[in-house]
Amino acid sequence: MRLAWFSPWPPQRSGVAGRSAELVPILAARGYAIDVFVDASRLKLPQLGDEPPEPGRVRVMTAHDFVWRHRRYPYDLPVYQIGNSHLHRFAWAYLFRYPGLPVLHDARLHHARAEALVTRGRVRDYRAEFAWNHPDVPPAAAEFAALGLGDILYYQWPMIRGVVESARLLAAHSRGVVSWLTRQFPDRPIEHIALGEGAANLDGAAAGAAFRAAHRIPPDAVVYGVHGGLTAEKHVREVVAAFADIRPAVPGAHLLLVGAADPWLDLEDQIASLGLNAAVSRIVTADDETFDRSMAACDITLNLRWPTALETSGPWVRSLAMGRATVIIDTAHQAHVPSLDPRTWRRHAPSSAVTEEDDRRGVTVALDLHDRQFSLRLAMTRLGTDAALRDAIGSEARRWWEREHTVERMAADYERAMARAVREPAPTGAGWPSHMRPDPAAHTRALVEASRVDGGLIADRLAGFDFP
Amino acid sequence: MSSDVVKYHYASMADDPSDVAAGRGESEREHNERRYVAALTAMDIAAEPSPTVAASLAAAAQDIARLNAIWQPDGGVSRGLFGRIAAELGRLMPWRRRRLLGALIAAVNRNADATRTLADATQNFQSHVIWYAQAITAIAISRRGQIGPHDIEPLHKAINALGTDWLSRWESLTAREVRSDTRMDALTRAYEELKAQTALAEARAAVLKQAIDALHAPEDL
Repeated sequence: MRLAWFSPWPPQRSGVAGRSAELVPILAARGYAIDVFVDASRLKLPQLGDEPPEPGRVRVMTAHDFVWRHRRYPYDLPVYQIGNSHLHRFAWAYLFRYPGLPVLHDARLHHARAEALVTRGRVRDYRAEFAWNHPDVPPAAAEFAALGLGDILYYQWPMIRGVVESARLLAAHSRGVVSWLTRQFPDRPIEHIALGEGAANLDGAAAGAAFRAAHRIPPDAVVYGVHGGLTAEKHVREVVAAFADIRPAVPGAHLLLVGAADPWLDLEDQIASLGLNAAVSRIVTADDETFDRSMAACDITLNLRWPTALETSGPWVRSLAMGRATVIIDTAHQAHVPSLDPRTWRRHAPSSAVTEEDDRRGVTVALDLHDRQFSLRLAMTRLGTDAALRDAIGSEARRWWEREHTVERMAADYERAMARAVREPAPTGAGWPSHMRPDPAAHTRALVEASRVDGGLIADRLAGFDFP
Repeated sequence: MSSDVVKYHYASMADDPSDVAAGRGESEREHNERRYVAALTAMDIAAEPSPTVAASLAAAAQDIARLNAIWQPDGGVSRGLFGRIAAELGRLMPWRRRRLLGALIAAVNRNADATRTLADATQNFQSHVIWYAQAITAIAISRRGQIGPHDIEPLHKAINALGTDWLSRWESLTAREVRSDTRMDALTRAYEELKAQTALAEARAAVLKQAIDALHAPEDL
């Protein structure tokens, strides 16, 4: 099968880029011919010949090459890695024009669509697309984005209809997202593809001990970790404040912050003002290996991202792989994960899992959003002082990872979804806002008309011209 | 200068006391709009033909006519050789020369006055143009200020605070709803299973009863 794989790509700083780079060679080894189409304005790319893709081979090239290559050697399926960031901007036009298999890493795409339209002066297109996506919302709501006031409101209106309706088959990395989208779009085919990542065979104890030694963290310290971009959405300041509060109850507590911090957070000042300099370690940049080793050095990892774009957090999945006790926010799209409420240390209610055995099978600790501050301190204190509970949750976490999040599982899901996608009919795109499928020859026609040349021949060539 | 001409140094062009007093009770935008209206009105008035300039120019025209009349009393009507010689001799007469020079000086003075008045009027108008431009600039700045960073930041924060609170409640409720739906599905399945098992048990009980009845029947007979 010939695949056109649209994705951010390393060294772009994106979890999606990392997953693609990990997965594509695995699929190629299984006989797929894969051309990876990337944003050439952000990556240095080698010149390639115009031969067709070969089974077992991966080529990385500019997305601008897709159209002519597809006309010359049609791909069986375009696969779009879609997320809520500007790194996916280059793929939108292809996604709407060439139906394929979009894989949702995020299911709230409003930030990305607003970035692609409003910040490029296409406010009229944005208004049209917003109204089409959310016909039940007053059109005036679009003005929030036009005025740059979107932010939190973007999360409420996901602007995902275009992706759903342009797909032969839609896939998402979150089971909760699949359930939600299936209810929203009952006529569209939607599947779950596991998000596979994490070190399967890392010796966590040895790696953790080495990391602690290298960063002068005492071997007997109870280490809490926050990994990934340290942003306001991850409530890092709340974590630091809670850490300061629970230290008297957890002797030898240490906080490890791994990732680049948003300067607006003033983390350094906060840490210093709370007198935590000796108890907090900062690792600003880390490659994948260091990232995993830093997780191995932790006893508890905190992943409090909210609001979310309905993603499955990569750092959280990697923590599960490491068998660490994790603390997350209790969200609807993660409600299928067996989680404990730190106020009761029982499964989150309402639940059919009400036995003590069910409680022992908790995979993570989830904080109720409205009781976040208090629940966070409860969770940090109990997990910091109860090693047996940490181990029990960590063991369940690893079992959950082996069932749901291995790379092999993800590759198998992709194969199943791609096989189905090529059988699904291409949607028509009827009734879409015109800017989503613009006339591909419009620019050429405009140039011909402006230059006042005799455009007879060109006009003939452009007559009825459309892709694919 | 007539009293109805608004000069460029008219007090309202500056931040006069009335502006300050009015400023206590009005927003910056209202203040700027009030100044804009005043500037526009003043410029309208300044753009009208100035009676002072008109009077000066009319007087200058009269002086020129008088000068011409003295130089050519007969209006320059064509005359013969002797007539032209007599006219030239007449212009040399001392009383005629004095009269001509007097009229000439008066005309020059009048012209200087007219020029000065014209310059005043031009300066007046240009000053009003500048004032008007200043008023417009203030309006533009205050209008831009309505969606500028210093004004929009509180609005942004307010929207974010409200949105976050609302979204967090929605998220929390939805998480419970999802779990509730899951539980309801499980309960429904369990109920269906229970119904099936009950039906099976009833059927088995009926069969058993029949079997027992059959066992007892011969003895009863």
